[in-house]
Amino acid sequence: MTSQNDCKDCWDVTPFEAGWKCTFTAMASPCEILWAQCSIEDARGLSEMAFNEVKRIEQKFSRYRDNNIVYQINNSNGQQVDIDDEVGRLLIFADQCYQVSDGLFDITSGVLRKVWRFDGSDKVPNARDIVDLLPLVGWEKVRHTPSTVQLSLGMELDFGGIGKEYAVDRVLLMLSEQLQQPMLINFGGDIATNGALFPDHHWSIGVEAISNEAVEKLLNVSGGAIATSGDSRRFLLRDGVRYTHVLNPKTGWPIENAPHSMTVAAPSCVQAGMLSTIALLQGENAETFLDEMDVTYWSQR
Amino acid sequence: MRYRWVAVLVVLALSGCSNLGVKPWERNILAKPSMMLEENAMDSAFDDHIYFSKEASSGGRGFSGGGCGCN
Amino acid sequence: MQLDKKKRVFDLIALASCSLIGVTGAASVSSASEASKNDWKVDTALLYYSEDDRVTAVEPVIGVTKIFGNDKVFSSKLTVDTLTGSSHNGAAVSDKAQTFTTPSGNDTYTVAPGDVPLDDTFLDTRVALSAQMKQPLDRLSTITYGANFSTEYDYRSIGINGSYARDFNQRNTTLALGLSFTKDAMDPEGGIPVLYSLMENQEKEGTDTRTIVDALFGITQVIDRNTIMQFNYGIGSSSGYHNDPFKVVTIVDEVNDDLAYMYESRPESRVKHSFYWRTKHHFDKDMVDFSLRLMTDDWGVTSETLDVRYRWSLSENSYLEPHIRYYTQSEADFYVDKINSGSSTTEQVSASYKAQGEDFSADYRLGNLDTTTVGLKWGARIAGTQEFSARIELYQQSGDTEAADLDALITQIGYTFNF
Repeated sequence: MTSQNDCKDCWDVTPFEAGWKCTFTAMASPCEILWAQCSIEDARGLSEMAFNEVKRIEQKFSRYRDNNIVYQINNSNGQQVDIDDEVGRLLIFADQCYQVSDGLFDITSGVLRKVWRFDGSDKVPNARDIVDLLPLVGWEKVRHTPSTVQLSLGMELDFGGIGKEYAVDRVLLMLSEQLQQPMLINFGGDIATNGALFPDHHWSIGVEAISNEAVEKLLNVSGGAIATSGDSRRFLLRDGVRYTHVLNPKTGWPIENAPHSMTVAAPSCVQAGMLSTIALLQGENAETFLDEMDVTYWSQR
Repeated sequence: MRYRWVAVLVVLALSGCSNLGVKPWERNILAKPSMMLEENAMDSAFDDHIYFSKEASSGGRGFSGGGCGCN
Repeated sequence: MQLDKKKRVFDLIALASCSLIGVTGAASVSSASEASKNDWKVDTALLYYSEDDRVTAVEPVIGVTKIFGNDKVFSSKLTVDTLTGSSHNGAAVSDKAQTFTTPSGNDTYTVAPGDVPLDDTFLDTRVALSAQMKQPLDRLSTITYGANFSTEYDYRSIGINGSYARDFNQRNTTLALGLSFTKDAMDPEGGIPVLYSLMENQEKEGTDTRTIVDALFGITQVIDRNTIMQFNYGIGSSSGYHNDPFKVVTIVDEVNDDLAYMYESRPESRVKHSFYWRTKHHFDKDMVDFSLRLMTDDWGVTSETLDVRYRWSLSENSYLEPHIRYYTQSEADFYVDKINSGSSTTEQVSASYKAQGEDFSADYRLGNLDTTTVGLKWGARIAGTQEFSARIELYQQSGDTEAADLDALITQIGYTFNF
């Protein structure tokens, strides 16, 4: 059995107390899928299917590759690019989230990472550099149709804020079409399940403690999805001020007084992820924002 | 001992036990509280005490020792 | 207005998410909650036991269980048992009126002709405390160890126990071995009756003790998805004072046409063997739990117990459980209803028994007995953290003598909560 830490291109199936567990590494996270009640052959078949889909999404939307649609779009020099149905849907989604968040959620803000390196150090960029980049940020400057997209020169699209949750929901959908059994998808803490193993059962999910005062929380999940947005270990610290990696696209600076992390429960992972991201973008009002919508969440400050 | 034959039968029956059982993911019903062997421990404790003081037998499910002056 | 806008935000995100993933129709329901660390459980119960014209007992119990991390479980239980009423003193029914001395020796009581002789100075309160710890040794094995203590006016008991259990066959089979040691001390009112002495002489002195060692071997086996069985073999050995210091045996003095009462004498040791088989089977919604116990010992007593419970599921969280128990035992070798003196006098009988060191007891609980229990229990779980239960049972006992004919009512209510 190869250890999942060593192998970037392989998956593993092992039994756990109630069934099968498939593990692999993808999207810079440990991934696992848990399900019960099928044969080892079916388990292997489903694992293969899930692994391939995750790798497909990872490769398609990674900004580190030079041979995918994202590279094409980010190096299009202001030209129009043809896109497929899946990318089209993602752009529509990004657009709807941009509108609903009053412009705070913006997938063109990725370009700001050229000056912001969240490595836990105190190297905060100077205001001049940030201001210089601001003209390249702004979803309103993107022209898109369901089959084409056109960015202004120098702009970039970053799907990092949606990719993992999208993969979770996609894999759950695919696998539940193949096997009508309860299962749990967990990609680095972004989780979705189509139900608990049996009545009175619930999946136990641990939410990592971010700061030293916080304690790892245990959540009981028997349906729907969980997504967490937050610092993790990506922040800057200077003169006692913590700069979170969640940037305000309108100013180029990090959101102030945002919680360290926000975990949201919702029917789908994409929805949970978007709610937690937009909540974080509200900074101080992250919790009130979710309270007013009656959303179930846990935040760490 | 009148029931020596029972001991022999039980041991023989159980030697075939390694074939019995369920896979880990088939334990959902066995995991229910009502299927736990200790699920009515309070009732059993009361009953054990009542029958220990009214009859000549004790034990079986647990230890048969005394603990009270009622027999 | 703000709230409306927020609701729209929520709905828009929900709709956008569905479109993105490509799900049509109702999305799955989100059901997530923080795991409240329900690691404490408190069980309370009250038993009311009432025999027709004899003993009545009221027994409140409170038990506490705490689950620690790493699967360690601690449990403790406090029981208070208050007994009042009268019980058979061992003498036989006679067509003449009988007079007996009370255990304290200070008083006498009379029993009408034809009545079962009952001593009604019987009242006592017992307090018992037990504590137990269970923890895993490794992935497949567990050890349990504990102690118990019980005290009443004239009796004290201290015991310790330990057991080891290990799983095999993917946890389908569990083997367990348990051991317990108990030391009991008796200090009855007035003292321990001198062996073979007569009640009228009130020769009593001192205290006495008894030691009990028990071993239990058990196998728990999963049969199929719906069935689990348990097989136990238990062996117990007790040595020391086994007599009931308040029980006598009637000597019918055929020479003087009189009745006398001699304090009983039981052997100084007892070895018991028991075989126990239990099956729990789950039907579609209901469950049945039946067990058979066979017991045999070196006093000549053999017994069979059949116990069946059927749990009828009323709803997801409540049930009704009828229960029936049959018990039958054969008499001990030294059981007698009374001793006829033949051509000897009472004193001669007493001396003769003493010389031969013979054992004898008229305690109907050591005689032939058939008992039947019929009961009904109701249980309900509320909010996943609380449970209520109530049960009522009728217990009927009959044996070779009138003293053994007994009816009792058992009622119990219970409340458990987790937090």
